[in-house]
Amino acid sequence: MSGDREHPHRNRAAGERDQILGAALQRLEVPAHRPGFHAELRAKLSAARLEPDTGRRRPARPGWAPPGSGQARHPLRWTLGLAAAAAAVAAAVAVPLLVSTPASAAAFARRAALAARTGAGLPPFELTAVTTNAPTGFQPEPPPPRVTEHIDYAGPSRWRDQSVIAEPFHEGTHMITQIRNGPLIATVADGRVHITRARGQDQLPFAVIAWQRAAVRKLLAAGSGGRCAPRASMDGTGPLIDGRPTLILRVGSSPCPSAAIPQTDGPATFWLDKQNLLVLHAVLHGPGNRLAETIKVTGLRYHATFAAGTFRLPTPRPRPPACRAAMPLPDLAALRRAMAHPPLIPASLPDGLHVGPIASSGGLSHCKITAFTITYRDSAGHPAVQLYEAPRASPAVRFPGRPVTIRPGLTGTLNSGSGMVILWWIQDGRYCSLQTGGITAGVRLTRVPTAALIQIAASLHG
Amino acid sequence: MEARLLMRARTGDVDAFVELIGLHDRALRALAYRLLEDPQQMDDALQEAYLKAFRSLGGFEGRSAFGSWLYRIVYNVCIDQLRQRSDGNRRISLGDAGEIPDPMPDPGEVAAQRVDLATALASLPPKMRAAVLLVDAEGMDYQVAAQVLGVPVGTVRSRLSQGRRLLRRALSEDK
Repeated sequence: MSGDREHPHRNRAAGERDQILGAALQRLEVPAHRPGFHAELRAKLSAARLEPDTGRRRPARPGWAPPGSGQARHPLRWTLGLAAAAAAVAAAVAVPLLVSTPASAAAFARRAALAARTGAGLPPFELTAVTTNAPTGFQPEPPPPRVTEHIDYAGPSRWRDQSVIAEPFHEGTHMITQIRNGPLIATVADGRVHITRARGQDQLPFAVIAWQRAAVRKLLAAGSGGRCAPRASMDGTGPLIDGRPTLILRVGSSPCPSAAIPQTDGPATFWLDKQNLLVLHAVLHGPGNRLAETIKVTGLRYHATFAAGTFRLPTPRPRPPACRAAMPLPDLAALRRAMAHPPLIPASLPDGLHVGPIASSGGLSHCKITAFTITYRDSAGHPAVQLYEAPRASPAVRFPGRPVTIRPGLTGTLNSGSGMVILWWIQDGRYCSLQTGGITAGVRLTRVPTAALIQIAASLHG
Repeated sequence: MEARLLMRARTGDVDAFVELIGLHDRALRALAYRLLEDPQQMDDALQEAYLKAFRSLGGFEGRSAFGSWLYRIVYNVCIDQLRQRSDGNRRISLGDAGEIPDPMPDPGEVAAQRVDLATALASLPPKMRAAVLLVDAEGMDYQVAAQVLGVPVGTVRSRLSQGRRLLRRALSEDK
C-alpha cells in the first residue's frame, strides 16, 4: 500500500524526523484479538450470509439472487437459513464455554497476570481497591489486615498509588504513596521520600505493592503450566462489578506450597474485567482452605483524566549525614540522649530487678536511635527480663496471645509457651515488648512471674 | 493471492473472507485500537466493520485497493463509535506529558517511552490521529489516505502537519 510519499516544502531533516516518528509509531504495541474473536466473527459472517436479503440495506451479494430479480426464495431455504443462523448464534454463545478447558484458563491467567504486571491492554483508569488480609500460618511479619488503595493510572510509566494501611493488632493506620513518573518511582512514607529507579515495565502498582503480590503470584502460577502450576478453569460469565461485566477464573490449590506467601497455597477465585482482564475481585485461600486475602475494586473509571502534576515526583530531602550505627549506652541518661524520641522507661521495677545492659536495636533517624533493648538482671545478677522498644511500624514479631489489661486504657497481648513469656503492646506510638524466660538476642533469660512483667509495663512512661 | 481470496469471498466463502481480512488485520487493529483506545471496543469495531465489508463485497468495484477500502470501513465504524461514546473527549492532556529526563535508557524505559508516544498519540483528535497513523505508521501516500479518510488531500496534509507538530511537542523533540 505504500506509494510515493509527498514531501513538498519540507527539508531533509524534517523528513528524517518524520521517518523516525513513523518507525516509533510502527513499534507501538497493538493488542491481539480477544479469545474467541474469530469464532464470533465466523458465526456472524455465517449468519449474515444466510440472512434473508431485504434488498434495502446493502448491495447485492454474489451467489444470491439480486434484489428485485423476481426470483422467489424457497421456503426450505428459509428454514435451513434460520436453522443455520441459530446454529451460528449458538456457536457464538458457546465461545465462552470453549475457554473452560484448562489450557484456555491458563492463558487467561497469564493474560490477567500480564495486565496486572505490565498494564497490557489497560486504558488509563482510576480505581479504589480494598485488600483485606487474614493471617495464614506463621509469618514473621504479618500482612496488614486492611489496605485501601487509590490508584491513578495513566500508563505503565505514569501512575500513583496512595495506600492507607491498617496495621495488624490495632496498631493504627499509616499512609504510603508511590508515584511512578518515567523511569523513577518515588515512595513517600512517614514524611520521607525515597526515589528509586524502576526495573523496566514490570513495575505496576499491583506488582509493586506488597499486599497484592499474592494475587499476581497466584495468576502467574496458574498460567505457568509448569510442575507447580495449580489447575485453573474458567467459570463462565460473572456478575457485574462496579458496572463492569466479568469472567470468573478459578484456580486450585498450589501443588508447591509456599512458606513465604501462604496466601497462594489454597484455591483462589478471580473476577476479571471481561474487557481487559483487570482483576476486579479476588478471593485467595491459604493452607487448609482458610480465607487469606480478598481484593475488591470499587469506583473504577476507565479513560480517566488526571490533573496536571498528579504524577509529579516529590523532591527528596537531603540525605542525612552518615551515622555511627553503634554507640555506647552505659546508662539510661546516655540512652535518653541517643534516642530520636524520649524512651519509655519503667518508673519502678519489681523487687530484685535492676537495670543491666542497654543496647541500640538498630533503626537510626538523623543519627538518633529509634529502637533499643534494656536487659534487667535479677538479684543473682542473671538476665531475667528484656524490654524492647521500637517505632509502631516496627516489623517485630507480633506474637498472638490473650489480651491483658496493663492499666486502665492500655491493653497488651500476652503470649506464653516454650518456657518464655512475652507481653507486647503499643504505647505513645511505640511498639513495646517485655520478655522473660527463653532466649532473646543471644541472651538466656531466667523467669520472673507474669505479674512482674505487667507491673513493669504499667510503670512505663516517657 | 488477495485477488483469488477476494473472488472466493465474493461468492460468500466465509473462510476465504476471514483469510482475506487476515492479510490486513494487524494494520486495521492498530488503527482501531489507536482510535478507540480500548481492546474490547477495537474488537467490537473490527467485527462490525468486517461484517459490513462482507455484506458489501458486492459493492466493491475494485477502483481502489481492497485494503484501502477495508481501511475506510474500519475508520468509519471507529469514528461512529467515537461519536456515540459519551466520554470520548476524556483524554490525558499534552500538559501532563512532562517527563524527568533520564540519561541511561534501559529496555523497560524504551518500552515506557513507547507508552509515552502512545499517550501523546491518544491526546490528538481522532481524525488527526488517523492521518498520522495512516501516513506515518502505515506508509500510505496522501492520495490513498485521503480516500480512506474521505477528505481532500490538502486536509490530510494539514492534519498530518498539525499532528506531527503536536506529537513532537509532547515528546519534547522540538524543545
